[in-house]
Amino acid sequence: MMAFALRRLVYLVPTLAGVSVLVFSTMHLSGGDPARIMLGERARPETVAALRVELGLDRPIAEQYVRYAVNLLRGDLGRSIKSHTPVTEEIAARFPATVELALAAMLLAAPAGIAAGAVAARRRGGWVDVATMTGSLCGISLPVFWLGLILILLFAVLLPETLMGLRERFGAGVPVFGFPVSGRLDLNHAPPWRTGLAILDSLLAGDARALLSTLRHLVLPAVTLGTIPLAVIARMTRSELLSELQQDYVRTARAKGASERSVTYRHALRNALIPVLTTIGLQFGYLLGGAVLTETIFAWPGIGRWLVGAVMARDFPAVQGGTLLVAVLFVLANLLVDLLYAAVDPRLRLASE
Amino acid sequence: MVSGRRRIARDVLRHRGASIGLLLVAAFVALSALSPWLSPHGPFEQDLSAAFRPPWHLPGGTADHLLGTDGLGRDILSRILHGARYSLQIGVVSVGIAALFGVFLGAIAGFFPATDNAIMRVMDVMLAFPSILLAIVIVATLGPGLINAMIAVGIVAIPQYARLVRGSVLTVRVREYVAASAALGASDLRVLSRTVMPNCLSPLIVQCTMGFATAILDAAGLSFLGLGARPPTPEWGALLHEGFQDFLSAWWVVTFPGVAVFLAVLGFNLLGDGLRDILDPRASG
Repeated sequence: MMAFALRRLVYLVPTLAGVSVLVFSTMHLSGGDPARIMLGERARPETVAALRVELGLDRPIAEQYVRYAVNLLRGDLGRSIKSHTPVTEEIAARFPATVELALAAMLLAAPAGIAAGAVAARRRGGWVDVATMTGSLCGISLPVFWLGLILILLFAVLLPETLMGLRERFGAGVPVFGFPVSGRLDLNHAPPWRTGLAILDSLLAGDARALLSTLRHLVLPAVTLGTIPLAVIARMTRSELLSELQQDYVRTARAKGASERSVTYRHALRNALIPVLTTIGLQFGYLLGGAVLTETIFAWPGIGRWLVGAVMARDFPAVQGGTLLVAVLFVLANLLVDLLYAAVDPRLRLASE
Repeated sequence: MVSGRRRIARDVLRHRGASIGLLLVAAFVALSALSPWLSPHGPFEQDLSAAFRPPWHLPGGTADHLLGTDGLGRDILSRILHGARYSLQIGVVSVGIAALFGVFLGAIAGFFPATDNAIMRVMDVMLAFPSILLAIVIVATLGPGLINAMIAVGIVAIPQYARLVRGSVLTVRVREYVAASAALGASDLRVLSRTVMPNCLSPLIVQCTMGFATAILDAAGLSFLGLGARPPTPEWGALLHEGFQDFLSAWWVVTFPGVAVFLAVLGFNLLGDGLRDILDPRASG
């Protein structure tokens, strides 16, 4: 197992090197002088020249890459052109928000997806199966950002309006509430910042109001972001479970008199879940970097929204740093999934040895 | 061949999902072809006196603007119909780029082992990014705009095609009829194009169909972020981008363009899913 893990880790080196080259070249493939692009057409020639020297753009390209790579290995991602703060600090300030949102989305998507897929497989061909599969295909076809807008219309506009109407008719007993649509929590009761995860910070501070505010802010973005993983996981669970149900050991279990319920959930589902876990791991890696659209709609102060801002401002060091972080996380998530997979399924690591 | 094609066509029409998908895709193509004649108004035609008209069935709505108007009094229905053309174009260009380069690289990697490692490592690097992020980075490099967004969405999808074709080539290459063809003196290129590639066609057709769906979604996402088509272009993502300013007071400005994206994407997904069942019975559960 150790050898397998080490070999997989070594395989990462060329990939990560390639990622660094790709990220590095974004600034140079942009056509024209990066310093000029970043500062805009109206910048004074002296300012542009100074930035060129600061970024080392006056050096040969190979030397620039070596410098970039050495800095990377030291953990130095450069400074943002826009804010002049180190890119690592910018990322550290926003990353917890992204992690929190991704975790929440996955906590919604994984159990629901597995349950839906398992039920669909058990009632294969029945209306539950057809409904689940149709629903999941619709889920995959939804533009996430549009789903976010529709959820806002329903739960932040229509819901309070409807409740208001009911209150006018039936008196003050009807509660009026809706869901907030921007940011992570109400700044009036923000808990002291410790971990950066707002839920954890509110719990640590024992602040119930902050916790409630955080959860209310989290619901709509998490549902939006979780929809696609939910659909993907449901489809995966169904097809894996169906193929497990055709295996010999399932027939054996049935033959010795195990109930259909026990055969499905205790025997087959366990084996079917291994590839499903892979999907969950990959989707999680995806959520960490793929929350760009969701974060933009809900003004969620995470990495994704910040990256879009950096792209708009053509702030290359920020774009490079953010992209690199997301790619590395994605690759590591892949690695972790592979290792877990090998740990639970010896055939895999033996095959490659 | 003809009878094989006929059989596939018949199977598509009998398959519930695939036939609904085909219907949606056909409607999408027909609407984009006929949009100049079907649209009640020009896509850029403004009428400030008719700004924010709700859809026809609501008080204040008129039959003249079935799906309402935006803040400049432009007819939403007409803009969506014209937008279909952009999405079709995006699908064709992006899938074309992805399939062309992907098939080429995958075939080379699968057929010539010496190149395999190099090509697939590059594909691995591309797969190290979530696709929308890679597309954003490419657009950031090339500069925002509809054309660059199409290119970005296409490039991002290349590894999927390369992997698929390489896998198929690797399994087909060891078959006896391929060896026989080589033994008869066929050149590498001939073996590749005459015996290996036709056998990779089924999964490739499925991938291209689903690729249309992904391309439309990703390009709409880029335009929504302001990195693709720019307003006033009536591309669907750009319509949503513009609508984002006003959607809290006028729900119809974002609802209908989103429904259009959803139906087009759903059509390609249903068709692709059905084609997979039909072309490759083993792959379906």
